[in-house]
Amino acid sequence: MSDFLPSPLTLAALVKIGLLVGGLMTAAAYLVLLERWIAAWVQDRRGPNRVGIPFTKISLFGLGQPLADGLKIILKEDFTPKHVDKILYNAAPLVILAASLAIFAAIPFGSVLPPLNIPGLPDPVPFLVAPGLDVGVLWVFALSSIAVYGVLLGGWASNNKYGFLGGLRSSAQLVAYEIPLGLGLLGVVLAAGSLKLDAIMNAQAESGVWYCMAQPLGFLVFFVASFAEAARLPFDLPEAEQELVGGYHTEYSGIRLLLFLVSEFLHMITAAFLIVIMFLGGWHFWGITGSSQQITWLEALLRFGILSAKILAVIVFFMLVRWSWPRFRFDQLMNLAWKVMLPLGLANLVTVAAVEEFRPQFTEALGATTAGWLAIAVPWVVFFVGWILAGILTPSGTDNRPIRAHDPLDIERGIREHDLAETELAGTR
Amino acid sequence: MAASRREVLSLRLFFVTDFVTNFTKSVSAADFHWKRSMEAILPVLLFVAIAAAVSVGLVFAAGLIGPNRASAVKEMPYESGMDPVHDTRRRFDVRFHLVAITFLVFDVELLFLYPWAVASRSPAGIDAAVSEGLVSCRGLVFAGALLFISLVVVGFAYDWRKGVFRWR
Amino acid sequence: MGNESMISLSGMVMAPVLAAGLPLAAINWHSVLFLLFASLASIFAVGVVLADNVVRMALYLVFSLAATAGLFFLAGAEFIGAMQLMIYVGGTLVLLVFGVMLTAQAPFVSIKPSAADRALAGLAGSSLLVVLLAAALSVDSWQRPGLSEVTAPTATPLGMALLGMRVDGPAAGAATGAVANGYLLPFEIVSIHLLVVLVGAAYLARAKRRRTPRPIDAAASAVSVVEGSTRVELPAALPPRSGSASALVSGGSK
Repeated sequence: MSDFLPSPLTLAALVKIGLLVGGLMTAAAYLVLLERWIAAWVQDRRGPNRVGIPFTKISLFGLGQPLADGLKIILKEDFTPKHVDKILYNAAPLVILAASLAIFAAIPFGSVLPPLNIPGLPDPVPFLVAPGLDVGVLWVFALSSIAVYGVLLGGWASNNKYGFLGGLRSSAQLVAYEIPLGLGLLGVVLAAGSLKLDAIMNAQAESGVWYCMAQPLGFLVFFVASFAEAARLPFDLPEAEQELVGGYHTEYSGIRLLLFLVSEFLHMITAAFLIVIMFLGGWHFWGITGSSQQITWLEALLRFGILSAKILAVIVFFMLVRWSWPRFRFDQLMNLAWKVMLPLGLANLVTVAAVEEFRPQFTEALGATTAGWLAIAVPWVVFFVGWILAGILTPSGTDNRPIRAHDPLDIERGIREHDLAETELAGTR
Repeated sequence: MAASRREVLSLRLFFVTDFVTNFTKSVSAADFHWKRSMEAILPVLLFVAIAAAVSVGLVFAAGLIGPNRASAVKEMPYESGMDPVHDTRRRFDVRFHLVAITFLVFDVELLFLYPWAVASRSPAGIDAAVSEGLVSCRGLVFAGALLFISLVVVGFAYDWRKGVFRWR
Repeated sequence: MGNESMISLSGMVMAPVLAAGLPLAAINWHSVLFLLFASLASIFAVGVVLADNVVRMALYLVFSLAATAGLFFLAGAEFIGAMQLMIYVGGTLVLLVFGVMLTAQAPFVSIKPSAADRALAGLAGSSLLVVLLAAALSVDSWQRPGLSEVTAPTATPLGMALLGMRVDGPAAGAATGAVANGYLLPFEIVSIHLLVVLVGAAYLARAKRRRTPRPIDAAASAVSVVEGSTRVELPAALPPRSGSASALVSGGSK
């Protein structure tokens, strides 16, 4: 009889997957509403506030808006232009949405449940679809790099100049910022000694020191890089509306456009999850949640609530930044990735490695408390020194004026003479 | 010897036979390792399958519901309302290729560093190896990892000097 | 049997299996999934060979390599599987597609090989196949040798091995104070390889400067600044830009 049913483990996984997929889709829809509300608030106007229950006058602050939007976009024509590469054009949105959903197989969305005592189901049940996956962090990275591929293919298959440029820019950006992202992450992995995201949260809860305090430089690098990976302003060059219309999804309409937009929001949610889990302590909060794996129902709920609140706070911060900052130019974007974020990330990695390497010796010599404070102080010193050095080596303002050169092919000489003329001018003034 | 050799060949001339005999066999306790890896991987595969099904299902459903009226103008590439000019498949700047190359280098570097990062602090990691006498001290391992990082940093500095990252 | 409730419970993935009357637990899912991934990898590999369009080939290659990553996952080598996804699917293929697009003038996008090319490729491919088959058939046993004793591999022993400590090797058990052989040397050689690639990238960047100037650069260089000269050539169509050039222009025209 029980032979015909999937095992309790598989059933539990199916339930979790169902909750996650449903929850994420709903969250993406309602975050669009939240974003529009915040935009309206920032710009001092009214946001969407009309759509409520149909055929009545009840408007419910516009809470029906996401449903109406979704219904509208599903009823739109599912249109494939003549000039596109059909296979790639159709595959791109499917690949990108499937990849950005499946990322969550390795991302925990809470702590653990109290013992359920179901036969065949080992207790405690974690809030994680694949607790046995040993390389959770790498799974997240692998799938986000597949998302790059969806963008690139979508842009190329569209056979449209805006789409092509958008796809190219987008993939170059995503690829460039994956390195700082990985460097920020490597510091956390080093400190926690595990590639599992739930183990990383547990390590922070046990020590009570969140990694944003112990690795400020890594936090900065990771935070900026995840903005870029989520393609949020100031890094939204892939679809800079004023220059590229819709970027890589210019030629897409209807449901396929929806898939692209949903996966963009999922990327933002993923980024928020990762920031909170790796640097902001996950479900841990001092004095409210315990740190052990034996917990009560109240604690389980509290942990889930705290994790969700932190994630929401990070997402709201994402949205506020979007409506407060102008967009980078592409050369500034690349400068930031390669000349600022990459060296800072490397500095963070070496600092963290050294701190972790010598911590036992210092604990022996100075005692646990002093060594603990030292392990926090040293990275902060490196943080400020690194910040100042990066500012000196790579000034944020860059000259976009044309480079003058006698021989138009000799750009190097042009730069030299340009600088020379500048100094001479400054002298004659 | 020869007979057993032929037997071996006929047995696994092709995996299909192996597969058929395996197909209906239930997973026994002896297959502990495979069962363990299945337990770890099955939820992931299920998630991937469901994610793919959701995206395909959405497109399929919308294709059934929505209208379908093509027109000549609608099928033109969108170029801000103008008639399209030139071919889209143009060559572009080699710097994008450079970004991809440098990305790949650092991606590989990171992936080689992950195992070191994990082993560095985990209980069964380097500390255990030191106490078992596999390596004389932690410092040697740390130096090995630093050497790995610094070689790539040298390359990075060289590229910076040579203007690989200059975009203007 | 009362299958109805179970069918609704287990969803459409399991339904065909239930209809066939096979109990779920009696199936060796490992074999099923192995066959699935292996055939996906092969089908898309054939797709790569048969496709005419270069970018489409790249897409099929993505699927083929992703299915191979699935095989790694299935074998319990999760780290290698994730690595396969990250490096090949995420990295190398982006590089490949960039490379294809870099040269993607219309005649190169579609590849239509001649009959002679096909014959040559078929010969090379089938001889490789023969070698591979011979190697596969010469393996003594495909049965699993006592895998029940092997613990699931994690990233930790990999890292130990890379840094010169093989915890799984024969030397580990027999170690009498001797250091077990690891892969420290290959590990460091990898970083030298990466260094070489970075130097190669610098060479490409040098090549890139020999390019035709942007129109805006050309226009700027037309404003030739000659010390003490009052004659300034300026294209009529382009207004002087702010900065040193325009400052000189206004100074010279006085």
